[in-house]
Amino acid sequence: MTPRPAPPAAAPASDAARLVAARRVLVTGLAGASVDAARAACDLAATLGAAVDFGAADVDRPAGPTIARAGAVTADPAEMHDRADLVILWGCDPAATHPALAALVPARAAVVRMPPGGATSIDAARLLHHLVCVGPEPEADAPWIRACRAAREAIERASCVAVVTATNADPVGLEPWAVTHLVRAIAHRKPAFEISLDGSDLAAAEAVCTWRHGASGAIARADRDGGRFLPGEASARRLLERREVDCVLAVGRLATAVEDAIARCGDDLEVLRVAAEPAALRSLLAALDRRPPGAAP
Amino acid sequence: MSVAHRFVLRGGTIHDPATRRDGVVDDVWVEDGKIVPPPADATGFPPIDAAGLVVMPGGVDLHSHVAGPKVNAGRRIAPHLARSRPAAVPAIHATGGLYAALGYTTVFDAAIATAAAPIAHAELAELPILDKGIYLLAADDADTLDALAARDGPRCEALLAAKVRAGRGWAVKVANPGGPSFWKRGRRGDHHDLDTPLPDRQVTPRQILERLARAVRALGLPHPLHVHTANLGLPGNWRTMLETMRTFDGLPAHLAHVQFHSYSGGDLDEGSFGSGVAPLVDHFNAHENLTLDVGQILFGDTVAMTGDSAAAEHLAHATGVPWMAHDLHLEGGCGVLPIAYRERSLIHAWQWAIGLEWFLTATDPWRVALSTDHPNGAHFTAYPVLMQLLADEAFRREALARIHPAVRARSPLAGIRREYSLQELCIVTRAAPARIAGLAHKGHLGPGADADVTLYRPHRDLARMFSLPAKVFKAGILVAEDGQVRTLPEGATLTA
Repeated sequence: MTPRPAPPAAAPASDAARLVAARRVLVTGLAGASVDAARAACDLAATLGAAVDFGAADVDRPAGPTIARAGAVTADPAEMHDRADLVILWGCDPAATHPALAALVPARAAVVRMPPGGATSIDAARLLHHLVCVGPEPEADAPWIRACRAAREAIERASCVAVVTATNADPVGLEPWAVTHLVRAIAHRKPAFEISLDGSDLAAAEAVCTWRHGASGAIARADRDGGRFLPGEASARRLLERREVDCVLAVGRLATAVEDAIARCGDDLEVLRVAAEPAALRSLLAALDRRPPGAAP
Repeated sequence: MSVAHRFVLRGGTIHDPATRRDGVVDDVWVEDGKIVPPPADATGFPPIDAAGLVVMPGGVDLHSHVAGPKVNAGRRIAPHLARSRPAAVPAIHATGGLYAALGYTTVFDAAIATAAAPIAHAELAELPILDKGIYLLAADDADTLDALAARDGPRCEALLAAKVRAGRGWAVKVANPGGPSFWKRGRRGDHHDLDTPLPDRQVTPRQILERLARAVRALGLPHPLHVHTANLGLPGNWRTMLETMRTFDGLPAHLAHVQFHSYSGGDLDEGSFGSGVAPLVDHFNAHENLTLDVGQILFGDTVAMTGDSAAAEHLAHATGVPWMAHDLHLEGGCGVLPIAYRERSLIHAWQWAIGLEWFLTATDPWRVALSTDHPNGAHFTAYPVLMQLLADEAFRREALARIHPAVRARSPLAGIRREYSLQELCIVTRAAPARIAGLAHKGHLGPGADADVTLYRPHRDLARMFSLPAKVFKAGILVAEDGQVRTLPEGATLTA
């Protein structure tokens, strides 16, 4: 006698009903998740026709992501340890926030902190870019301008430059754009790269989302044959702020900005939380698949 | 909709160079995903009418870029090109469907760093329909370079074997021999010759090429060393390519995307840029140890991606377009950037003409694989246009009339009358790439072959004919019909 399949667990069945009942679902989270968990989450999103975004900073800007405008010149952190003789800490203090990475700053390297006091990050990056590209010296004098000149001289002396950067709250994307352009300008002259402290715990989710949907997030509607990348419109935070989704499938740990946005939505938003475990996600997917077509929630 | 596990394709016009069938009306018998000899008893082999259709083995793309971190970077760097149909760098699922709908059933990603192999395989696991494999980048990692510098053949072979095993690779590739060492230690924007020692080791690019090729041969890998030589894209780089060819001196080697390595001209001098194909093709034609893929460019928007960081940096610096680069620890790196090939651009028109010149002057199609180095030269869905350019001189002449006039005047292309036959097209898209890759069970329709079969409706517009196969079978399963994907079976991962 063939054993009857076990009925789905109550929680996946009820979660599936709530997902199906929603007007529009956002799939988010996956910090630190595995590739298999990210695959299962993307499968759920495709089944639901949901939006997908994991809350990474580089898709959360209305001015568009830096990568599509300027690119990114990066390296594994260990390359900094092996090769860099100048490390520029740009708006960050890895010793305080990322000690493991801070330990890779080589003892032989000169360390410069930017931006200097009295300057915005954008102003400092643009001026240093100008100086690196051998533009005319600015006539104005100020401590921050002198600090940029000193940084330029350090870059000229160096044979390999690592620029360590962190997440920032710039709402329009100009700051990462300016820093990326600076790194790129240096890299056209000598070995240089950016080491970002951003988003490493989203690496698997972003990789899977990109090969599934063509972008690392801000996908308005998940589709396995591609997707529309809509930065500044379909990021998790913006979808929540504009109340364009009425249900969030929160997979594992969420980005802080997304958690904050959920909290601001109050009771209007249904939030289903599921572990970032492939088995849990597959169970939910199976519960969705078992629903008869057109079934009422 | 799949068909029975046994069937016979009845009365098609067979083009199967490996079995010397050139337009012969014949049947193809299929059982359990393989081609079988005509059975004594045909009962149980339902017929599929192939009368009037051209029957070829499934296409084999020997050199493409479909998975891994650099391909993901390509998807991210040009979102505007993701909205075109097909996307310049399609999602992995769409990639399988598009290839299958084109009549292709096997693809290799030609540049995966060993460190990136696990994530590339995770992505390739989601590539439907196609059988797939990867070439692992060698000679970028510190241990292999040390072994090469020490002339320690056994150690080098052991390292390559471990790399192929750990990375589940099909072949070994070198991208810009020694280039990462020069790049990581400061060299920017100029040539390096094959005989200057690396800045950090007593070994030259030429020695890397020669010793790697020996190690690959000693290991008995199915595909010889896959070579992307130095100075890609730079004026005057034909000399580097010629020296690369001479280096192998009887050793088997496959030369990748030769179009990008066949330029005359002085250092960074656009005015003297031109074709350096003639001396290269003379050498190639006379040396049977060498095979190649062309890396043809076709006009339009695309994304360039390479394990050759220096080449990408040079192009990014010259054009100012967005540029992604990533240096891997103790390995090489990659460079990715969008690019738009224009008919009226002097450089792009030369590149287009140089690729065609290679195709049309290399005499032995069995040593030539059709490729655009997708997506570097063009999208793989443009292969039918390339096939028409090779097989239809009038079509080629019309295209030639649209490109930059200086190239039209100076390129030897205008004087070349050769037209590929259907059989030759079959060779460069199926039989030769399968043989060059070392795929004994692909690229032909003889007994024992995988039942990867494509049926085309004959049409004088060859681009149309090859764009829209009537039926495509993968391992005996009907996967596409008239451009529509019918089912999405899993393909196999090909490992050495």
